[in-house]
Amino acid sequence: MHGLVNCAIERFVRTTYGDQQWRTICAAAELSEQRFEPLLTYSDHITQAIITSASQILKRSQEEVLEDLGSSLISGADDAAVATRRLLRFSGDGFVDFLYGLDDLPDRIALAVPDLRLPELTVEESRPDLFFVRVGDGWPGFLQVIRGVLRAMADEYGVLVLIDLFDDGPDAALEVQVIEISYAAGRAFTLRAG
Amino acid sequence: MTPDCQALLSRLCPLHALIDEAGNVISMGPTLAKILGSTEQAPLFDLFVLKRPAGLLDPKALLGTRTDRLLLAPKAFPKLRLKGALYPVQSGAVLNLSFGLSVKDAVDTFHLTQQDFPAADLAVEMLYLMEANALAMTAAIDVTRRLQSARQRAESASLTDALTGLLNRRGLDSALADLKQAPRPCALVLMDLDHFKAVNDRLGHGAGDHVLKHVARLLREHTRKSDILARCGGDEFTLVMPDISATDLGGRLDGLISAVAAPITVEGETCCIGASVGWSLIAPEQLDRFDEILEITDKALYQAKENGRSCHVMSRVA
Repeated sequence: MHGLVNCAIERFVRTTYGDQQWRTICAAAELSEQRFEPLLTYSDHITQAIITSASQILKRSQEEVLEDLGSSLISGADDAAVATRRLLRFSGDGFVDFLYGLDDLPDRIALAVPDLRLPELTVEESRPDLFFVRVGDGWPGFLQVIRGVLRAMADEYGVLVLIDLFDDGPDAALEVQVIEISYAAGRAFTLRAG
Repeated sequence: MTPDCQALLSRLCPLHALIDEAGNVISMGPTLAKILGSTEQAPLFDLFVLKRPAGLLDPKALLGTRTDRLLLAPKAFPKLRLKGALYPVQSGAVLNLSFGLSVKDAVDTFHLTQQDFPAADLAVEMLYLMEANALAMTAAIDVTRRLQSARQRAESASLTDALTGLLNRRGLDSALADLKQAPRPCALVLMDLDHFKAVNDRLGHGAGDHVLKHVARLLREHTRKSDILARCGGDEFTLVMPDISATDLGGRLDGLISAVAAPITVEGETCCIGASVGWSLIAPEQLDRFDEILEITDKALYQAKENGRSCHVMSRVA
């Protein structure tokens, strides 16, 4: 797994639950190192071990941990979250626009970090206010992370949405229902860097 | 141009100006209007400085040349460099502009939004890429800095001389400390290379490094595994050899000095260097006075140089 992913998990745990919890999780996962280089690649086992032990230590299901991880990528107050939500806002002028742009997200990310290849993302529009988001193979639990990202991005755009897991099997998808397009003011975004 | 046509032009090319035959800007796209701060009709060269082609002052001549490699700067913002292409139309021309690489400056200066760029334009992708690239670069620089400082820490903690693999001064000090813990009789040998500076000056530092490695190899050949061999900067070598007799050491030094004196070939050039040596025998109880003995031995080394180099001189330690 790309080092950036492990770094993101580390930042999520440290900012949400504190440094001590991170150390406990690393110890439970029997990691030799407690920090990762963002530009190196690590074995997938390490990432899986962190998620498994985070779920045990934090007493939350893996799905919940992953969803919160996804939402923390966007909605935190730290510099890293500010940077990610700015980068994601470039893919769409509004939330629906952003959903349409999800197909391009893996390519868009590879443009910035060429060796970071996300699983494929596909968006199907079944009604103007109802979308199905599916992810390709490669990263188990990625759908949950995307669920968190979408929840946070909806907040960003000030849109009221309902996101449900549609079918738990191999055809698992997120059902995204847009309830109200201008529910809240949303966060201001300018092309201009802050 | 019909109003429909003009509206379409404004949507497709929001950074365009429509110019009449006399060279006056008679209308413009919304983004250009935002930059110029006015939509008033004005002569083209009242609004822009033409940087390329240079020296063209008559707008009518520009309309006649029909070029698509223009470079213009708005008079109000001379730092903004706009790329331009001119397309003749009935009774005038359309000047279409692009921010080129100054797109980021333009966005910052004029607070442009996604709507200021045509929907199919790549400008927003480019801004995304610039921002993402800056972030990735920051991460890369961060990694490089940490590696660099780790390397410096490792180097300063190292006991060996990276070039020759012999001990460095820190390594020598640490070996001496060990020796003082379990004192034994030993010999202190100081060796300087002769004519080494000439090799560096004539053939460069690469050749000098080659010679130092060669000498280090000879040192290993003419000493025992248990001996302490160090290079303490430049072409100065310090040896501490436990449990050795004057006769044994004298024979080894003769062999070493004649081996160093043999010509060496470096990058096709022949170098002739030599070695001058001063040495002394130290009794176990004298190890505490090592620095003093070092000074006395250094005098013997100086004597060896005085004696015509490529020889060894023993100093008597009282």
